[in-house]
Amino acid sequence: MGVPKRKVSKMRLRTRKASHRWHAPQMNKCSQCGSTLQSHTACGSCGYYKGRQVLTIDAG
Amino acid sequence: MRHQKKTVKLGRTAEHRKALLANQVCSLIEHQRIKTTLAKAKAVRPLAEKMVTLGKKGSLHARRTALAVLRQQDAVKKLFDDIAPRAAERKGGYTRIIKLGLRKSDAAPVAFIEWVDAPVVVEEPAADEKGKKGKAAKTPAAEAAAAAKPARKTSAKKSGATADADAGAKSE
Repeated sequence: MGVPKRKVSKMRLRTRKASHRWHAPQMNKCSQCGSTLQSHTACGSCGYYKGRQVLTIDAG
Repeated sequence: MRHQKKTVKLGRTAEHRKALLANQVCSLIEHQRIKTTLAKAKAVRPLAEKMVTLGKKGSLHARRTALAVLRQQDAVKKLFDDIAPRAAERKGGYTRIIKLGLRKSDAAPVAFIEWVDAPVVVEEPAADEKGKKGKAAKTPAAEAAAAAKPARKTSAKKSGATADADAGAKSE
């Protein structure tokens, strides 16, 4: 049976695990009102998506 | 193995799923646009578009096939009389899904699903300025289609407003 020849060093292990790190989602700016939002999503503060109003946001 | 089995199961049995999707398509036909989870919207889309294809055929057989799936006579009627003729010049892609981000309570991704050819709905007078900008960006065809609906809406609003005024006068 195949057996590891060497102990995995701390550096090698940690370098590998570092790639599993959580990354914050990439955010975009709304083209209409400039608020932050996820891409391909209608804006939650002004209701715009792709240059037109898609939903109405209650004022205040 | 589930290789190439594309059905979106939605955690339901086949009959439950069929009933759910039929109900969603009927709601979509009735309201033109529905808000649901992204997974359901994506599952509804193929069925909704198949129903429009049936509607475009327009034959009695197509009507009965649609009724067998949707199980609601008024929805099938509206599909064949209103929605399918509207999509006559479109070869597929009758629906649009707009993602709305995550729901507060359970962080489920939510989306609108709507007919591409539906008249554009811009509600509420508070958003008037924004609505005008949106209308300017629209294509002429969409604007023509939209022209009929808002007219009816505004008249309805006016009558509603006068009714409110009357009620106010009475209460005073």
